[in-house]
Amino acid sequence: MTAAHSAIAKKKVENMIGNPEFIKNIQLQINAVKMVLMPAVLGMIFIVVYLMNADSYKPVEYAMQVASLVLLGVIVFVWGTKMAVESLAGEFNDKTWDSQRMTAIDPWNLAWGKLFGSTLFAWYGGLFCLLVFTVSSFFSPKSYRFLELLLSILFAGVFAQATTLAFILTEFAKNRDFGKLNLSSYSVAGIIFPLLFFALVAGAYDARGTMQWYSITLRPMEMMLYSSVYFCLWGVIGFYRAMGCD
Amino acid sequence: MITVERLTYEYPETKALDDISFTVQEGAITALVGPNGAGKTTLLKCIAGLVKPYSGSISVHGINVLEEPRKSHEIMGFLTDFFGLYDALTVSQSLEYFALAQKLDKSMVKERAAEVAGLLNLTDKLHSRASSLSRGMRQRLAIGQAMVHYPKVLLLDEPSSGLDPEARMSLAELFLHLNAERNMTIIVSSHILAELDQYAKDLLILKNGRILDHTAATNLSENKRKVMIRCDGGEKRLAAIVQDMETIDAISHVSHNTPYLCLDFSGKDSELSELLHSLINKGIPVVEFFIKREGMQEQYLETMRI
Repeated sequence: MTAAHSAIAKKKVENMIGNPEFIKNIQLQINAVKMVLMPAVLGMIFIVVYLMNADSYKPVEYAMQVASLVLLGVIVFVWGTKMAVESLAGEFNDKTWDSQRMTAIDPWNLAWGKLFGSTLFAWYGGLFCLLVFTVSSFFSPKSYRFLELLLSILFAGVFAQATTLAFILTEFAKNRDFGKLNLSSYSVAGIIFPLLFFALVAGAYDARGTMQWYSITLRPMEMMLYSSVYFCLWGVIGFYRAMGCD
Repeated sequence: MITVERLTYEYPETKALDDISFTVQEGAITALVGPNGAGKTTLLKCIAGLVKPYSGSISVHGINVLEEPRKSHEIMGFLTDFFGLYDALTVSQSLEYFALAQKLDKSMVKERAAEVAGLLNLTDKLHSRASSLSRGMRQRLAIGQAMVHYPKVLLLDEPSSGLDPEARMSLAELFLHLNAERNMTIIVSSHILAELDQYAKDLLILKNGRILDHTAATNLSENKRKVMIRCDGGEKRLAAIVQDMETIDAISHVSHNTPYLCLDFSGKDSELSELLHSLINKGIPVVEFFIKREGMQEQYLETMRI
Protein backbone atom coordinates (compact mmCIF):
# COMPACT_ATOMS: atom_id res chain seq x y z
CA MET A 1 0.00 0.00 0.00
CA THR A 2 1.44 3.36 -1.00
CA ALA A 3 1.62 6.42 1.23
CA ALA A 4 -1.15 8.02 -0.84
CA HIS A 5 -3.40 4.99 -0.33
CA SER A 6 -2.84 4.96 3.41
CA ALA A 7 -3.48 8.71 3.57
CA ILE A 8 -6.81 8.23 1.75
CA ALA A 9 -7.71 5.31 4.03
CA LYS A 10 -6.81 7.38 7.10
CA LYS A 11 -8.95 10.26 5.83
CA LYS A 12 -11.88 7.88 5.26
CA VAL A 13 -11.62 6.50 8.78
CA GLU A 14 -11.41 10.04 10.19
CA ASN A 15 -14.48 11.02 8.18
CA MET A 16 -16.39 8.01 9.47
CA ILE A 17 -15.51 8.71 13.09
CA GLY A 18 -16.18 12.42 12.65
CA ASN A 19 -19.48 11.95 10.80
CA PRO A 20 -21.44 14.99 12.03
CA GLU A 21 -24.74 13.17 11.69
CA PHE A 22 -23.49 10.37 13.94
CA ILE A 23 -22.07 12.85 16.45
CA LYS A 24 -25.33 14.80 16.47
CA ASN A 25 -27.28 11.62 17.18
CA ILE A 26 -24.94 10.74 20.05
CA GLN A 27 -25.57 14.19 21.52
CA LEU A 28 -29.32 13.81 21.07
CA GLN A 29 -29.59 10.25 22.38
CA ILE A 30 -27.03 9.76 25.07
CA ASN A 31 -26.96 11.24 28.54
CA ALA A 32 -25.56 10.05 31.85
CA VAL A 33 -28.91 9.00 33.32
CA LYS A 34 -29.80 6.85 30.31
CA MET A 35 -26.33 5.32 30.26
CA VAL A 36 -26.76 4.16 33.85
CA LEU A 37 -30.43 3.25 33.59
CA MET A 38 -30.08 0.82 30.68
CA PRO A 39 -27.60 -1.63 32.32
CA ALA A 40 -29.46 -1.27 35.63
CA VAL A 41 -32.82 -2.32 34.14
CA LEU A 42 -31.30 -5.09 32.02
CA GLY A 43 -29.24 -6.27 34.98
CA MET A 44 -32.39 -6.60 37.10
CA ILE A 45 -34.16 -8.59 34.38
CA PHE A 46 -31.20 -10.97 34.07
CA ILE A 47 -31.00 -11.39 37.85
CA VAL A 48 -34.69 -12.32 37.94
CA VAL A 49 -34.18 -14.83 35.11
CA TYR A 50 -31.18 -16.30 36.93
CA LEU A 51 -33.04 -16.64 40.25
CA MET A 52 -36.09 -18.18 38.57
CA ASN A 53 -33.97 -20.80 36.84
CA ALA A 54 -31.35 -21.48 39.50
CA ASP A 55 -33.16 -24.57 40.76
CA SER A 56 -34.53 -25.66 37.40
CA TYR A 57 -33.68 -29.05 35.92
CA LYS A 58 -32.35 -27.24 32.87
CA PRO A 59 -28.94 -25.53 33.19
CA VAL A 60 -29.26 -21.90 34.19
CA GLU A 61 -26.79 -20.91 31.42
CA TYR A 62 -29.35 -22.09 28.88
CA ALA A 63 -32.04 -19.83 30.36
CA MET A 64 -29.62 -16.91 30.40
CA GLN A 65 -28.70 -17.49 26.75
CA VAL A 66 -32.35 -17.59 25.69
CA ALA A 67 -33.24 -14.55 27.81
CA SER A 68 -30.34 -12.52 26.39
CA LEU A 69 -31.35 -13.41 22.82
CA VAL A 70 -35.02 -12.59 23.39
CA LEU A 71 -34.11 -9.26 24.99
CA LEU A 72 -31.66 -8.55 22.18
CA GLY A 73 -34.41 -9.25 19.64
CA VAL A 74 -36.89 -6.98 21.41
CA ILE A 75 -34.33 -4.18 21.82
CA VAL A 76 -32.96 -4.34 18.28
CA PHE A 77 -36.20 -4.99 16.41
CA VAL A 78 -38.92 -3.24 18.37
CA TRP A 79 -37.09 -0.46 20.14
CA GLY A 80 -34.37 0.09 17.54
CA THR A 81 -36.89 0.40 14.72
CA LYS A 82 -39.05 2.71 16.82
CA MET A 83 -36.04 4.94 17.53
CA ALA A 84 -35.06 5.02 13.87
CA VAL A 85 -38.62 5.95 12.87
CA GLU A 86 -38.85 8.70 15.48
CA SER A 87 -35.51 10.12 14.45
CA LEU A 88 -36.09 10.34 10.69
CA ALA A 89 -39.82 11.06 10.65
CA GLY A 90 -39.14 13.51 13.48
CA GLU A 91 -36.80 15.45 11.17
CA PHE A 92 -39.69 15.82 8.74
CA ASN A 93 -42.35 16.64 11.33
CA ASP A 94 -40.10 19.05 13.26
CA LYS A 95 -39.09 20.89 10.06
CA THR A 96 -35.37 20.17 10.35
CA TRP A 97 -35.20 17.99 7.25
CA ASP A 98 -34.77 20.84 4.74
CA SER A 99 -31.87 22.29 6.71
CA GLN A 100 -30.29 18.81 6.65
CA ARG A 101 -30.77 18.59 2.91
CA MET A 102 -28.96 21.91 2.59
CA THR A 103 -25.82 20.50 4.20
CA ALA A 104 -22.87 19.09 2.29
CA ILE A 105 -23.01 15.67 4.02
CA ASP A 106 -23.03 13.01 1.32
CA PRO A 107 -25.88 10.45 1.20
CA TRP A 108 -23.74 7.58 2.48
CA ASN A 109 -22.55 9.42 5.59
CA LEU A 110 -26.05 10.74 6.21
CA ALA A 111 -27.48 7.23 5.78
CA TRP A 112 -25.15 5.38 8.13
CA GLY A 113 -25.05 8.30 10.55
CA LYS A 114 -28.83 8.06 10.86
CA LEU A 115 -29.06 4.27 10.75
CA PHE A 116 -26.59 3.64 13.55
CA GLY A 117 -26.76 7.05 15.24
CA SER A 118 -30.50 7.14 15.80
CA THR A 119 -30.49 3.57 17.12
CA LEU A 120 -27.31 3.92 19.14
CA PHE A 121 -29.03 3.66 22.52
CA ALA A 122 -30.80 0.48 21.45
CA TRP A 123 -27.45 -1.00 20.37
CA TYR A 124 -26.00 0.07 23.72
CA GLY A 125 -28.66 -2.08 25.38
CA GLY A 126 -27.99 -4.83 22.85
CA LEU A 127 -24.34 -4.78 23.87
CA PHE A 128 -25.25 -5.79 27.42
CA CYS A 129 -27.39 -8.63 26.09
CA LEU A 130 -24.42 -9.75 24.00
CA LEU A 131 -22.23 -9.61 27.08
CA VAL A 132 -24.60 -11.81 29.07
CA PHE A 133 -24.89 -14.19 26.11
CA THR A 134 -21.10 -14.44 25.81
CA VAL A 135 -20.57 -15.05 29.53
CA SER A 136 -23.36 -17.69 29.62
CA SER A 137 -21.88 -19.38 26.57
CA PHE A 138 -18.59 -19.94 28.41
CA PHE A 139 -20.41 -22.19 30.85
CA SER A 140 -22.59 -23.90 28.30
CA PRO A 141 -21.40 -27.08 26.60
CA LYS A 142 -23.38 -26.36 23.42
CA SER A 143 -22.79 -22.64 23.11
CA TYR A 144 -22.42 -22.76 19.32
CA ARG A 145 -26.11 -23.72 18.88
CA PHE A 146 -27.32 -20.13 19.33
CA LEU A 147 -24.51 -18.36 17.51
CA GLU A 148 -26.27 -18.44 14.15
CA LEU A 149 -29.44 -17.12 15.77
CA LEU A 150 -27.53 -14.33 17.48
CA LEU A 151 -25.91 -13.20 14.24
CA SER A 152 -29.23 -13.52 12.39
CA ILE A 153 -30.91 -11.23 14.95
CA LEU A 154 -28.17 -8.61 14.50
CA PHE A 155 -28.31 -8.60 10.70
CA ALA A 156 -32.10 -8.88 10.48
CA GLY A 157 -32.38 -6.06 13.04
CA VAL A 158 -30.31 -3.75 10.85
CA PHE A 159 -32.41 -4.85 7.86
CA ALA A 160 -35.65 -3.96 9.70
CA GLN A 161 -34.32 -0.54 10.68
CA ALA A 162 -32.82 0.29 7.27
CA THR A 163 -35.91 -0.82 5.35
CA THR A 164 -38.24 1.19 7.57
CA LEU A 165 -36.02 4.27 7.15
CA ALA A 166 -35.96 3.82 3.36
CA PHE A 167 -39.74 3.55 3.35
CA ILE A 168 -40.06 6.77 5.36
CA LEU A 169 -37.78 8.56 2.91
CA THR A 170 -40.01 7.60 0.00
CA GLU A 171 -42.96 8.94 2.01
CA PHE A 172 -41.14 12.28 2.44
CA ALA A 173 -41.32 12.91 -1.28
CA LYS A 174 -45.07 12.28 -1.34
CA ASN A 175 -45.81 14.42 1.72
CA ARG A 176 -43.34 17.23 1.01
CA ASP A 177 -45.98 19.93 0.97
CA PHE A 178 -48.60 18.43 3.19
CA GLY A 179 -48.93 17.78 6.89
CA LYS A 180 -47.00 15.45 9.13
CA LEU A 181 -46.03 11.82 9.04
CA ASN A 182 -47.78 9.49 11.46
CA LEU A 183 -44.98 7.97 13.55
CA SER A 184 -46.98 5.10 15.03
CA SER A 185 -47.90 3.69 11.62
CA TYR A 186 -44.21 3.28 10.79
CA SER A 187 -43.30 1.96 14.22
CA VAL A 188 -45.59 -1.00 13.51
CA ALA A 189 -42.75 -2.23 11.32
CA GLY A 190 -40.83 -2.86 14.53
CA ILE A 191 -43.48 -5.42 15.50
CA ILE A 192 -44.14 -6.98 12.09
CA PHE A 193 -40.46 -7.63 11.31
CA PRO A 194 -39.66 -9.61 14.50
CA LEU A 195 -42.92 -11.59 14.22
CA LEU A 196 -41.95 -12.70 10.73
CA PHE A 197 -38.36 -13.25 11.74
CA PHE A 198 -39.08 -15.39 14.80
CA ALA A 199 -41.73 -17.36 12.91
CA LEU A 200 -39.03 -18.24 10.39
CA VAL A 201 -36.56 -19.01 13.19
CA ALA A 202 -39.07 -21.35 14.87
CA GLY A 203 -39.55 -23.10 11.54
CA ALA A 204 -35.83 -23.39 11.03
CA TYR A 205 -35.29 -24.94 14.48
CA ASP A 206 -38.12 -27.43 14.00
CA ALA A 207 -36.92 -28.47 10.60
CA ARG A 208 -34.83 -31.59 10.39
CA GLY A 209 -32.21 -32.33 7.77
CA THR A 210 -30.74 -29.94 5.26
CA MET A 211 -31.91 -27.57 2.53
CA GLN A 212 -30.82 -27.39 -1.05
CA TRP A 213 -30.29 -23.97 -2.56
CA TYR A 214 -29.17 -24.55 -6.14
CA SER A 215 -26.02 -26.63 -5.67
CA ILE A 216 -25.42 -25.50 -2.08
CA THR A 217 -26.51 -27.65 0.85
CA LEU A 218 -27.40 -25.70 3.97
CA ARG A 219 -28.89 -26.33 7.39
CA PRO A 220 -32.06 -24.23 7.96
CA MET A 221 -30.35 -21.95 10.49
CA GLU A 222 -27.44 -21.46 8.13
CA MET A 223 -29.92 -20.43 5.46
CA MET A 224 -31.52 -18.09 7.98
CA LEU A 225 -28.19 -16.45 8.75
CA TYR A 226 -27.11 -16.03 5.12
CA SER A 227 -30.52 -14.66 4.20
CA SER A 228 -30.33 -12.16 7.05
CA VAL A 229 -26.90 -10.98 5.87
CA TYR A 230 -28.17 -10.70 2.30
CA PHE A 231 -31.33 -8.80 3.25
CA CYS A 232 -29.36 -6.57 5.60
CA LEU A 233 -27.02 -5.63 2.77
CA TRP A 234 -29.87 -4.80 0.42
CA GLY A 235 -31.73 -2.93 3.15
CA VAL A 236 -28.73 -0.69 3.80
CA ILE A 237 -28.13 -0.15 0.07
CA GLY A 238 -31.82 0.67 -0.39
CA PHE A 239 -31.73 3.22 2.40
CA TYR A 240 -28.55 4.76 1.03
CA ARG A 241 -30.06 5.05 -2.46
CA ALA A 242 -33.30 6.51 -1.09
CA MET A 243 -31.20 9.07 0.80
CA GLY A 244 -29.31 9.93 -2.38
CA CYS A 245 -32.58 10.46 -4.28
CA ASP A 246 -33.92 12.91 -1.70
CA MET B 1 -24.20 35.54 -9.49
CA ILE B 2 -27.60 33.86 -9.61
CA THR B 3 -29.20 33.27 -12.99
CA VAL B 4 -32.74 31.95 -13.27
CA GLU B 5 -34.06 31.19 -16.73
CA ARG B 6 -37.62 30.38 -17.75
CA LEU B 7 -38.44 28.76 -14.44
CA THR B 8 -41.83 27.12 -14.09
CA TYR B 9 -43.07 25.24 -11.06
CA GLU B 10 -46.50 23.70 -10.74
CA TYR B 11 -48.46 22.39 -7.79
CA PRO B 12 -51.35 20.06 -8.60
CA GLU B 13 -53.82 22.91 -9.08
CA THR B 14 -51.66 26.02 -9.26
CA LYS B 15 -48.77 27.36 -11.27
CA ALA B 16 -46.55 28.70 -8.48
CA LEU B 17 -43.88 30.05 -10.86
CA ASP B 18 -44.78 30.95 -14.40
CA ASP B 19 -41.84 31.10 -16.80
CA ILE B 20 -39.76 33.57 -14.82
CA SER B 21 -36.23 34.74 -15.62
CA PHE B 22 -33.95 37.10 -13.76
CA THR B 23 -30.37 37.65 -12.69
CA VAL B 24 -29.04 38.66 -9.29
CA GLN B 25 -25.59 40.17 -9.37
CA GLU B 26 -22.86 38.95 -7.03
CA GLY B 27 -22.86 40.95 -3.81
CA ALA B 28 -26.43 42.15 -4.16
CA ILE B 29 -28.98 42.17 -1.36
CA THR B 30 -32.28 41.49 -3.05
CA ALA B 31 -35.65 41.95 -1.41
CA LEU B 32 -38.11 39.36 -2.66
CA VAL B 33 -41.60 40.70 -2.09
CA GLY B 34 -45.13 39.95 -3.16
CA PRO B 35 -48.51 39.02 -1.75
CA ASN B 36 -49.13 35.69 -0.05
CA GLY B 37 -49.14 32.89 -2.60
CA ALA B 38 -47.06 34.89 -5.08
CA GLY B 39 -44.47 32.09 -5.30
CA LYS B 40 -41.71 33.57 -3.14
CA THR B 41 -41.09 30.49 -1.00
CA THR B 42 -41.27 28.17 -4.01
CA LEU B 43 -38.76 30.34 -5.85
CA LEU B 44 -36.34 30.28 -2.90
CA LYS B 45 -36.71 26.51 -2.56
CA CYS B 46 -36.01 26.09 -6.28
CA ILE B 47 -32.87 28.25 -6.06
CA ALA B 48 -31.78 26.24 -3.01
CA GLY B 49 -32.25 23.02 -4.98
CA LEU B 50 -34.77 21.65 -2.49
CA VAL B 51 -37.55 21.25 -5.03
CA LYS B 52 -37.29 20.44 -8.71
CA PRO B 53 -39.08 22.79 -11.07
CA TYR B 54 -41.21 21.61 -13.98
CA SER B 55 -38.90 23.42 -16.40
CA GLY B 56 -36.19 26.07 -16.55
CA SER B 57 -32.66 26.38 -15.26
CA ILE B 58 -30.94 27.86 -12.21
CA SER B 59 -27.26 28.65 -11.95
CA VAL B 60 -25.55 29.84 -8.76
CA HIS B 61 -21.95 30.95 -9.16
CA GLY B 62 -21.66 28.80 -12.25
CA ILE B 63 -23.09 25.67 -10.61
CA ASN B 64 -26.17 24.18 -12.23
CA VAL B 65 -28.39 23.77 -9.16
CA LEU B 66 -30.74 21.27 -10.78
CA GLU B 67 -27.92 18.99 -11.87
CA GLU B 68 -25.58 19.41 -8.90
CA PRO B 69 -27.74 20.41 -5.91
CA ARG B 70 -25.31 18.98 -3.34
CA LYS B 71 -22.38 20.90 -4.79
CA SER B 72 -24.43 24.09 -4.81
CA HIS B 73 -25.31 23.59 -1.12
CA GLU B 74 -21.64 24.06 -0.22
CA ILE B 75 -21.89 27.70 -1.31
CA MET B 76 -25.45 28.33 -0.21
CA GLY B 77 -27.31 28.81 3.04
CA PHE B 78 -31.08 28.74 3.34
CA LEU B 79 -33.44 29.60 6.15
CA THR B 80 -36.93 28.29 5.45
CA ASP B 81 -40.03 30.14 6.62
CA PHE B 82 -41.14 27.25 8.86
CA PHE B 83 -37.86 26.08 10.31
CA GLY B 84 -37.14 23.63 13.09
CA LEU B 85 -34.31 23.27 15.58
CA TYR B 86 -32.86 20.32 17.44
CA ASP B 87 -34.35 21.20 20.79
CA ALA B 88 -32.15 18.85 22.80
CA LEU B 89 -28.93 20.37 21.42
CA THR B 90 -27.31 23.47 22.87
CA VAL B 91 -26.72 26.56 20.73
CA SER B 92 -23.05 25.64 20.52
CA GLN B 93 -23.77 22.02 19.52
CA SER B 94 -26.29 23.13 16.89
CA LEU B 95 -23.88 25.57 15.27
CA GLU B 96 -21.00 23.08 15.45
CA TYR B 97 -23.15 20.37 13.85
CA PHE B 98 -23.99 22.58 10.87
CA ALA B 99 -20.40 23.79 10.61
CA LEU B 100 -19.17 20.19 10.43
CA ALA B 101 -22.00 19.23 8.10
CA GLN B 102 -20.89 22.00 5.75
CA LYS B 103 -17.39 20.51 5.73
CA LEU B 104 -15.65 23.19 7.73
CA ASP B 105 -12.24 22.17 8.99
CA LYS B 106 -12.58 20.50 12.40
CA SER B 107 -10.01 22.82 13.95
CA MET B 108 -12.14 25.84 12.99
CA VAL B 109 -15.53 24.57 14.09
CA LYS B 110 -15.61 25.71 17.74
CA GLU B 111 -14.14 29.09 16.88
CA ARG B 112 -16.64 29.60 14.04
CA ALA B 113 -19.60 28.61 16.21
CA ALA B 114 -18.53 31.17 18.81
CA GLU B 115 -17.98 33.82 16.12
CA VAL B 116 -21.42 33.30 14.56
CA ALA B 117 -23.06 33.25 18.00
CA GLY B 118 -21.36 36.60 18.62
CA LEU B 119 -22.69 38.06 15.37
CA LEU B 120 -26.20 36.99 16.38
CA ASN B 121 -25.92 38.14 20.01
CA LEU B 122 -26.20 34.59 21.26
CA THR B 123 -22.83 34.34 23.01
CA ASP B 124 -24.32 34.14 26.50
CA LYS B 125 -26.67 31.38 25.32
CA LEU B 126 -23.99 29.14 23.81
CA HIS B 127 -24.57 26.43 26.41
CA SER B 128 -28.34 26.74 26.59
CA ARG B 129 -30.54 24.16 24.93
CA ALA B 130 -32.46 25.33 21.87
CA SER B 131 -35.69 24.37 23.64
CA SER B 132 -35.05 27.02 26.29
CA LEU B 133 -34.61 29.88 23.82
CA SER B 134 -37.21 32.56 23.17
CA ARG B 135 -38.91 32.86 19.75
CA GLY B 136 -36.51 35.58 18.66
CA MET B 137 -33.44 33.68 19.84
CA ARG B 138 -34.60 30.55 18.03
CA GLN B 139 -34.96 32.62 14.87
CA ARG B 140 -31.43 33.95 15.30
CA LEU B 141 -30.05 30.46 15.92
CA ALA B 142 -31.74 29.24 12.75
CA ILE B 143 -30.12 32.09 10.81
CA GLY B 144 -26.79 31.17 12.40
CA GLN B 145 -27.16 27.57 11.28
CA ALA B 146 -27.84 28.71 7.72
CA MET B 147 -24.80 31.01 7.58
CA VAL B 148 -22.27 29.23 9.82
CA HIS B 149 -20.17 28.26 6.78
CA TYR B 150 -20.28 31.84 5.42
CA PRO B 151 -21.89 30.84 2.15
CA LYS B 152 -21.52 32.91 -1.00
CA VAL B 153 -25.30 33.02 -1.31
CA LEU B 154 -27.69 33.31 1.61
CA LEU B 155 -31.41 32.75 1.04
CA LEU B 156 -33.75 33.84 3.83
CA ASP B 157 -37.47 33.30 3.89
CA GLU B 158 -39.14 35.64 6.39
CA PRO B 159 -36.04 35.86 8.61
CA SER B 160 -37.37 38.53 10.92
CA SER B 161 -40.82 37.21 11.72
CA GLY B 162 -41.09 36.95 15.48
CA LEU B 163 -38.21 39.31 16.17
CA ASP B 164 -38.58 42.45 18.26
CA PRO B 165 -37.63 45.83 16.69
CA GLU B 166 -34.18 45.82 18.31
CA ALA B 167 -33.41 42.34 17.01
CA ARG B 168 -34.67 43.35 13.56
CA MET B 169 -32.36 46.29 13.55
CA SER B 170 -29.38 44.13 14.52
CA LEU B 171 -30.38 41.63 11.82
CA ALA B 172 -30.32 44.40 9.24
CA GLU B 173 -26.86 45.37 10.47
CA LEU B 174 -25.76 41.74 10.25
CA PHE B 175 -26.89 41.44 6.63
CA LEU B 176 -25.09 44.64 5.71
CA HIS B 177 -21.98 43.39 7.54
CA LEU B 178 -22.01 40.01 5.78
CA ASN B 179 -22.58 41.73 2.47
CA ALA B 180 -19.82 44.29 2.94
CA GLU B 181 -17.21 42.06 4.63
CA ARG B 182 -17.77 38.82 2.73
CA ASN B 183 -19.45 40.05 -0.44
CA MET B 184 -22.28 37.65 0.38
CA THR B 185 -25.19 37.68 -2.07
CA ILE B 186 -28.39 37.74 -0.05
CA ILE B 187 -32.00 37.21 -1.12
CA VAL B 188 -34.52 38.03 1.58
CA SER B 189 -38.21 37.37 1.35
CA SER B 190 -40.26 39.46 3.74
CA HIS B 191 -43.52 41.34 4.12
CA ILE B 192 -41.93 44.00 6.30
CA LEU B 193 -40.93 46.45 3.57
CA ALA B 194 -39.73 49.21 5.87
CA GLU B 195 -37.17 46.80 7.23
CA LEU B 196 -36.05 45.61 3.78
CA ASP B 197 -35.57 49.27 2.95
CA GLN B 198 -32.72 49.40 5.44
CA TYR B 199 -30.48 46.97 3.62
CA ALA B 200 -31.88 45.76 0.28
CA LYS B 201 -30.22 47.02 -2.86
CA ASP B 202 -32.58 45.35 -5.33
CA LEU B 203 -36.28 44.76 -5.35
CA LEU B 204 -37.84 41.70 -6.97
CA ILE B 205 -41.63 41.79 -6.97
CA LEU B 206 -43.58 38.60 -7.62
CA LYS B 207 -47.29 38.22 -8.17
CA ASN B 208 -49.14 35.09 -9.24
CA GLY B 209 -45.84 33.40 -10.03
CA ARG B 210 -44.66 36.16 -12.37
CA ILE B 211 -42.13 38.93 -11.95
CA LEU B 212 -43.83 42.31 -11.84
CA ASP B 213 -40.68 44.30 -11.33
CA HIS B 214 -36.98 43.77 -10.76
CA THR B 215 -35.18 47.02 -10.16
CA ALA B 216 -32.34 48.41 -8.20
CA ALA B 217 -34.13 49.95 -5.22
CA THR B 218 -31.63 52.79 -4.93
CA ASN B 219 -31.90 53.76 -8.60
CA LEU B 220 -35.59 54.44 -8.42
CA SER B 221 -35.34 56.67 -5.41
CA GLU B 222 -32.51 58.64 -6.99
CA ASN B 223 -34.29 59.11 -10.32
CA LYS B 224 -37.64 60.10 -8.96
CA ARG B 225 -38.04 62.03 -5.74
CA LYS B 226 -41.12 63.34 -4.04
CA VAL B 227 -40.63 66.92 -2.93
CA MET B 228 -43.02 68.16 -0.25
CA ILE B 229 -43.63 71.88 0.19
CA ARG B 230 -45.76 73.68 2.77
CA CYS B 231 -46.24 77.40 2.66
CA ASP B 232 -47.91 79.93 4.90
CA GLY B 233 -51.07 81.27 3.26
CA GLY B 234 -53.32 78.34 2.51
CA GLU B 235 -55.06 77.09 -0.61
CA LYS B 236 -54.93 80.23 -2.76
CA ARG B 237 -51.21 80.46 -2.54
CA LEU B 238 -50.83 76.78 -3.21
CA ALA B 239 -53.00 77.03 -6.34
CA ALA B 240 -50.80 79.79 -7.67
CA ILE B 241 -47.71 77.76 -6.96
CA VAL B 242 -49.12 74.73 -8.73
CA GLN B 243 -49.70 76.71 -11.91
CA ASP B 244 -46.08 77.89 -11.88
CA MET B 245 -44.71 74.49 -11.04
CA GLU B 246 -46.29 72.68 -13.98
CA THR B 247 -44.10 74.59 -16.38
CA ILE B 248 -40.87 73.22 -14.90
CA ASP B 249 -39.46 70.26 -16.87
CA ALA B 250 -38.05 68.36 -13.89
CA ILE B 251 -41.49 68.18 -12.33
CA SER B 252 -43.63 65.47 -13.86
CA HIS B 253 -46.61 65.62 -11.59
CA VAL B 254 -48.03 68.01 -9.03
CA SER B 255 -50.59 67.03 -6.42
CA HIS B 256 -52.10 68.29 -3.20
CA ASN B 257 -51.69 66.39 -0.02
CA THR B 258 -53.04 68.97 2.42
CA PRO B 259 -51.28 70.91 3.85
CA TYR B 260 -48.47 69.93 1.46
CA LEU B 261 -47.85 70.46 -2.20
CA CYS B 262 -46.38 67.26 -3.55
CA LEU B 263 -44.06 67.28 -6.59
CA ASP B 264 -42.71 64.28 -8.51
CA PHE B 265 -39.23 65.62 -9.16
CA SER B 266 -36.72 63.98 -11.48
CA GLY B 267 -34.10 66.73 -11.65
CA LYS B 268 -30.65 66.99 -10.10
CA ASP B 269 -29.81 68.39 -6.68
CA SER B 270 -28.75 71.72 -8.22
CA GLU B 271 -32.18 72.05 -9.88
CA LEU B 272 -33.83 71.30 -6.59
CA SER B 273 -31.78 74.02 -4.95
CA GLU B 274 -32.80 76.42 -7.73
CA LEU B 275 -36.44 75.54 -7.19
CA LEU B 276 -36.27 76.47 -3.51
CA HIS B 277 -34.34 79.62 -4.37
CA SER B 278 -36.94 80.71 -6.94
CA LEU B 279 -39.82 80.11 -4.52
CA ILE B 280 -38.20 82.32 -1.91
CA ASN B 281 -37.32 84.95 -4.53
CA LYS B 282 -40.98 85.05 -5.55
CA GLY B 283 -41.82 85.89 -1.98
CA ILE B 284 -43.60 82.61 -1.26
CA PRO B 285 -43.47 82.02 2.48
CA VAL B 286 -42.07 78.49 2.46
CA VAL B 287 -42.47 76.89 5.87
CA GLU B 288 -41.37 73.35 4.98
CA PHE B 289 -39.42 72.01 2.00
CA PHE B 290 -38.27 68.37 2.15
CA ILE B 291 -37.84 65.20 0.16
CA LYS B 292 -40.15 62.39 1.13
CA ARG B 293 -38.06 59.34 0.50
CA GLU B 294 -39.64 56.95 -1.97
CA GLY B 295 -39.13 53.79 -0.01
CA MET B 296 -39.59 50.19 -0.95
CA GLN B 297 -43.12 50.28 0.40
CA GLU B 298 -44.20 53.05 -2.00
CA GLN B 299 -42.33 51.40 -4.84
CA TYR B 300 -44.03 48.08 -4.10
CA LEU B 301 -47.50 49.53 -3.75
CA GLU B 302 -47.12 51.53 -6.93
CA THR B 303 -46.02 48.42 -8.85
CA MET B 304 -48.88 46.37 -7.43
CA ARG B 305 -51.37 49.02 -8.55
CA ILE B 306 -50.25 48.77 -12.20
